[in-house]
Amino acid sequence: MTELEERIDNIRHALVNMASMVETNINNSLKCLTERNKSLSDEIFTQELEVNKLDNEIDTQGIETLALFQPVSEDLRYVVMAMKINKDLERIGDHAVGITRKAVELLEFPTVIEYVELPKMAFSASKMVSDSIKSFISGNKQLAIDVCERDREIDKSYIKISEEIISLMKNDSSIIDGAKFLLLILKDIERIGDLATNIAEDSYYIQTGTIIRHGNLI
Amino acid sequence: MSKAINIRNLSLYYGKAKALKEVTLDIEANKSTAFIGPSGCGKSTLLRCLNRLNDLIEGVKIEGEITISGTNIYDPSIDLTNLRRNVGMVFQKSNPFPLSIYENIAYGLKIAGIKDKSKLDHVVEKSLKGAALWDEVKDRLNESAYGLSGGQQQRLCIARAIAVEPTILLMDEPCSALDPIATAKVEELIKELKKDYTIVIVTHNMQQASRVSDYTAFMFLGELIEFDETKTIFMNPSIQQTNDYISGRFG
Ligand SMILES: Nc1ncnc2c1ncn2[C@@H]1O[C@H](COP(=O)(O)OP(=O)(O)O)[C@@H](O)[C@H]1O
Ligand SMILES: [Mg+2]
Repeated sequence: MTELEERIDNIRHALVNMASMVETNINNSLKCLTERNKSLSDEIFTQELEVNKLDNEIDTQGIETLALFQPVSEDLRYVVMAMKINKDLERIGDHAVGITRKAVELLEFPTVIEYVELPKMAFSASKMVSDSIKSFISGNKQLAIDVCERDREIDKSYIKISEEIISLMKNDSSIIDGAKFLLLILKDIERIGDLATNIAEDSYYIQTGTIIRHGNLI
Repeated sequence: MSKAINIRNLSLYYGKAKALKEVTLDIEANKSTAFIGPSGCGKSTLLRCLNRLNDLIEGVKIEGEITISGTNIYDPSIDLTNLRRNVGMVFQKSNPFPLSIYENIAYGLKIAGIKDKSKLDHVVEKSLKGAALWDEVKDRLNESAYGLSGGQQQRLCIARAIAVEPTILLMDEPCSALDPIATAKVEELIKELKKDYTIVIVTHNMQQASRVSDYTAFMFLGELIEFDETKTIFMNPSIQQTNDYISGRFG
């Protein structure tokens, strides 16, 4: 292995590590929400600190690798995209923390709505994150395209569920204080879908050199 | 797009050894084209074919065709002196004549029959300016060229090459003996020069190829493996072998 290959390998490992922490945090934050239980929140906040550390570490490694090894071609695409994926993962981590904080706030209020559709949407967003990372690690182009396509479903669910919540709020203004947290959580989940799509697009770019952002190609 | 040089099915043998294998390549006018590839792959050989410097080597056999501005340069009726005036060359090691700075440039012009002092002065100044050397030497034109630094000597050789107004400039690893600052100056100069000349440069320095060239040809064992815009070669080449070479994992 050349030193450049070793460095790229290290960046890959750090990202995989970070991705698994972020995935755990999303899933735990959803547990807080659906089980109405805040016992996991401290764990989530501690894990978030680790994610932030990895974010800094991956950026530093990436910049150093560019400066010292001037990678080209696939190596260049890999390092630059790894740094972008790093940013997107870090933002996904922030949304998981956001969901947790709001889920804790929600405990003060009675249940607003039976959680049926929302957890479904949340778990498909979380699956998009793990699949986008899988596509990045294994170089699976088809999986990347798949993730991008699934984002449309997330957007549809977002509109549908938020309309439901809003009409509940119109019928019964006493739920507004609690329901507004639910709307914010919904937005967090929708953003997680967008960020997972970014990761999938970047993974596709690494493998092909083709940019599929903003609706190009698919 | 005008193609200054068309290379068609060019093969070259040093005795029995085939050093170039059916190379076909079009080189665009007023752009810089880099030849890259591992040592011994035939970059210099291909470059020297462009002004027939290989003719001087015994046992060389050449097949195929090279046309420059539509003329086959291997046609027997070609005047080699004219060809080499039109296709100038700068070598790896700067090789100024043991003369003054002024005479280094005036020499070729005098041979070409120019005697008029004011005309010579004019061309010397213009060439030194063209090679981005004038400001550094204008007060010492009559001093020996050997007193210049390596980087200045290389730019003097470039000035000498452009003094006779070629259309094509060939450079064979022109910076490999220079320090980074002198290298940066020559690289800047190359970018200026391609406004007026077609540049073909051999370099073993990949970063240099990516900085100075518009097009890159990757060669291996006498074959042209891939030719494309430099940015395509360095961001997303089509051929795995090119990718492996430019990424430094040549096995
Ligand atoms: N004058 C020569 N006589 C015989 N073989 C030569 C001569 N010049 C170059 N070669 C051979 O031709 C091949 C290509 O050489 P060259 O064009 O100098 O490669 P590069 O410039 O890519 O390093 C090499 O195998 C080299 O040994
Ligand atoms: Mg050579």
